[in-house]
Order: sequence, then structure tokens, then C-alpha cells
Amino acid sequence: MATEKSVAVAAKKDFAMPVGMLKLYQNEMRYFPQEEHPNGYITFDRRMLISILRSKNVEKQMELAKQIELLRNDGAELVFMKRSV
Amino acid sequence: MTETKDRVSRMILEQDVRDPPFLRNVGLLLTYHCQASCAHCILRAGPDRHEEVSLEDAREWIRQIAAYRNGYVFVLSLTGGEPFSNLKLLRNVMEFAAENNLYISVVTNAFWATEREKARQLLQSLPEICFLSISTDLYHQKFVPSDNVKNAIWAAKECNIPFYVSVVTDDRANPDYQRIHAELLELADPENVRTGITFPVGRAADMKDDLRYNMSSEPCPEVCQAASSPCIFPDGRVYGCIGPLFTLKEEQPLYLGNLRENSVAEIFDRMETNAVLHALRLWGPARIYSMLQQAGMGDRLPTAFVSGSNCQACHAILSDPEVRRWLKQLEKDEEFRKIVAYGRLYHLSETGMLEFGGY
Repeated sequence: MATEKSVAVAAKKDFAMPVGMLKLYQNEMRYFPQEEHPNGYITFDRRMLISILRSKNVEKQMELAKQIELLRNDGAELVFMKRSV
Repeated sequence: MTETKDRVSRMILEQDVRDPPFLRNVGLLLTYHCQASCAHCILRAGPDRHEEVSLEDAREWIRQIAAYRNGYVFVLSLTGGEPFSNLKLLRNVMEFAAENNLYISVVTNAFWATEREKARQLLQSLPEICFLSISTDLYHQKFVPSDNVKNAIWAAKECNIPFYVSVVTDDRANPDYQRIHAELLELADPENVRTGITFPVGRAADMKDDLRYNMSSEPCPEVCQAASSPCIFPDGRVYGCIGPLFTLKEEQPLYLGNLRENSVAEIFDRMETNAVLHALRLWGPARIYSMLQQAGMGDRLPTAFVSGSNCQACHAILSDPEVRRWLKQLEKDEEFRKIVAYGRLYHLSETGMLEFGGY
């Protein structure tokens, strides 16, 4: 099943991963539910962003558009990646 | 970078569909009241329950949530009970949350969608709703007809409100579940219809013997996606997830505190450094289970688990008070905390514990 991931450049405080720790995680298997947790939770995700873009709240849309534009001026890039599994 | 720009930057960053972003979504349980008294309800909500959050409390908590780390939280998820039961409260809470720049999602059983046009008008009158989660299944349909759900789906589409439908069952082979699921797929895309497994707690615990689970001798190996979002109860209690652990009351690692005694910031900061909670997010309850086995606690552990349900596994493992005492000690173990802190960095790109933990 293909999943999507979007990534933007952002300044983040750097933390060096100790080598011993790295080895601990490198071969670790993490299992994900086939379906997201459905019991009353909605997490902010791609669909929520689409919701704002599709909404009839022009003010909210314009604010979002402006802020994405300003991000670009700051050297940030919005990248959508499609990952095949 | 301005505050609002920073907010959008972070919002765009976190579109990973596998690991839900931590603490961007906060649940608020508005009411225990519900038109339905479903046999599986973990909250035991129903028509005779009238406890609900006061508007005064809700406003104060929302104000604090919105102010937390300059807008760290994006979404307020309103749940219950049935949030549409008290429309005035729902409307006031949503308006205040929207004024505070929070996006809003609402969980509902669609009892209000008795007619298409009526449902559309109601949703149109609530423009703050960014996302709708509609619950329906064998349990709900004893109280709320499937036509209501169909009307709600239609109205959500008409109003351009993204939605999903949540169906809960103990047995995917059950013909009634399959019928409901098939009907829903005629109305909504498969990615908008999600199936969950009935939790054997709350009212469902009363019918445990009738539940037709697939059982396993091992706990579900999946990571926990629920503990990324805390949930606030009307009396101010805050839990790390809305799953069955709240039935274990205060003596458990995912009880985060009470907003009548602590501020939102204090409780959320505590959640940021809660090592057991993040271990669940990283590796799920199966990792805790194997750690307990290695610690010689095997005789305190359950021997049967519901297949595919990490919530059931988590609840079953933590039901033993000795296990909870052991976890309380584990929480203080520096080596464990360090493994979790760097595990968050490696797997989740999260630095919160490293920043707060001083590693």
C-alpha cells in the first residue's frame, strides 16, 4: 500500500544521536495498524489541510496561502513524496 | 519568523499518515449524554447521563490550549457522548475555539440527520467544523437508523466537510457488520470508512461472554497511535488517550492530571516527558509486555489477547496493579528514559524529550 508524506524544511535544534543508541534503533521493526485508530480521534493530517483549502472560509484560505508564500520567501520548500512499500 | 508563520510551517511538516503528530490534536469530551446507550460504549454514555463540561471551564481550557507554546495545538476534537446533544454548548465551544485559531473536528452518531436538507442546514450553520467523524455500527443502529448516517454523509459532502465513518465490531466475519460496511462503501470511499475493534471495557465488559473476538496468545504488535492526543474529561481529568485506559482511573501511566489542580501547560509538559506514554507510541504495548516478561513479571501478565487490538492489549496488561507499580518505577529509570528520548528522535523526529530531559 502506498503512503504519502510531505516534508518541509524547518530549523530544528540539532541533537547528535549517540552511536550506541543508533545501533539500537536501526534494525527495529515498528508495526502500524492497517487502519488508523478510529475511536473518536481525528488527527491533523493532509485531509484537514485539504479541508481548509476547500472550505468556503475565504479569509482562512487567504491566510493559509499567504503564510505558505511567506515560507517560500524564507527559503522553505514544500515537498510531497509518494512512498511505495 | 512570526508566530502565525511558524504555526503553518509546523502544520505542513507533520503530514505523516503513519505516526500521528504529537500533541497537535487535543480531545475534549463535551458530554456523557447520548441518544443511544450502546452495548459497547466504554463511557457508558446514554440518555440518562447529563454530566457535561461547563461553558466556563471549556472556555478557560481552550484559552490555555490555544496559548500553549504559542499555538502548538492545531485541532480540538470534540467528542462525547454525543456533542450535538447540547447544540448551544457545541456552538459556543466551537466559536470560542475558532476565535482562538483552533481547527475543530466533531464526533457524532448523526441522530440529528433525520432528513437530508435538515442535516445540510445544520452543518451549514456550524461553519467551524473542519472535520466530521460519524459513528455507526450494529450497536449504534439499535438507536440511530442507518438513514440518518446516510443523510449526514450526504450533508457533509454537500458542505465540503471531510469526514470518515467509524464502524466498531468484535467480529469482522459477522454478516451484520459486513452488511453495514458494504452499505457504507456505496456512500463513501474505502479510506473514509474505518473499522475498529470493540473494547471489552465499560458497558462492553458486561457482555464480554457474547463478544466473538479472534484471540491470540501474544499482544498486538502495533504501535499506539492514540497516545499522541490527550483527552480532557468534563471534570478536568486529562488522559493520554481516549482508549480504555481511563477506566483504570488515576493510578496508571496515562493519567496526566486534572485541570482543576494543574494548568494545561503543566499537564502537556508532563505528557511531553512521559516515557511510558512515548514508549507506547514508539513500540506499542507489546514492548512493555516483553519488558515485563524479562523483568520476571510473567506471572502477572494476561495469557490471551484480542487479535489486532493494541488498546485491548494495553488495557489488559495495565489492569494488574503490580504491573502499574512496576511501570511507575520504570518511568524513573534514566536508561529507559534515554532510550525513549532518542527513540523519538530516530523514529519520530521529535526532540521534545531531549529538550526537556536535558540529554
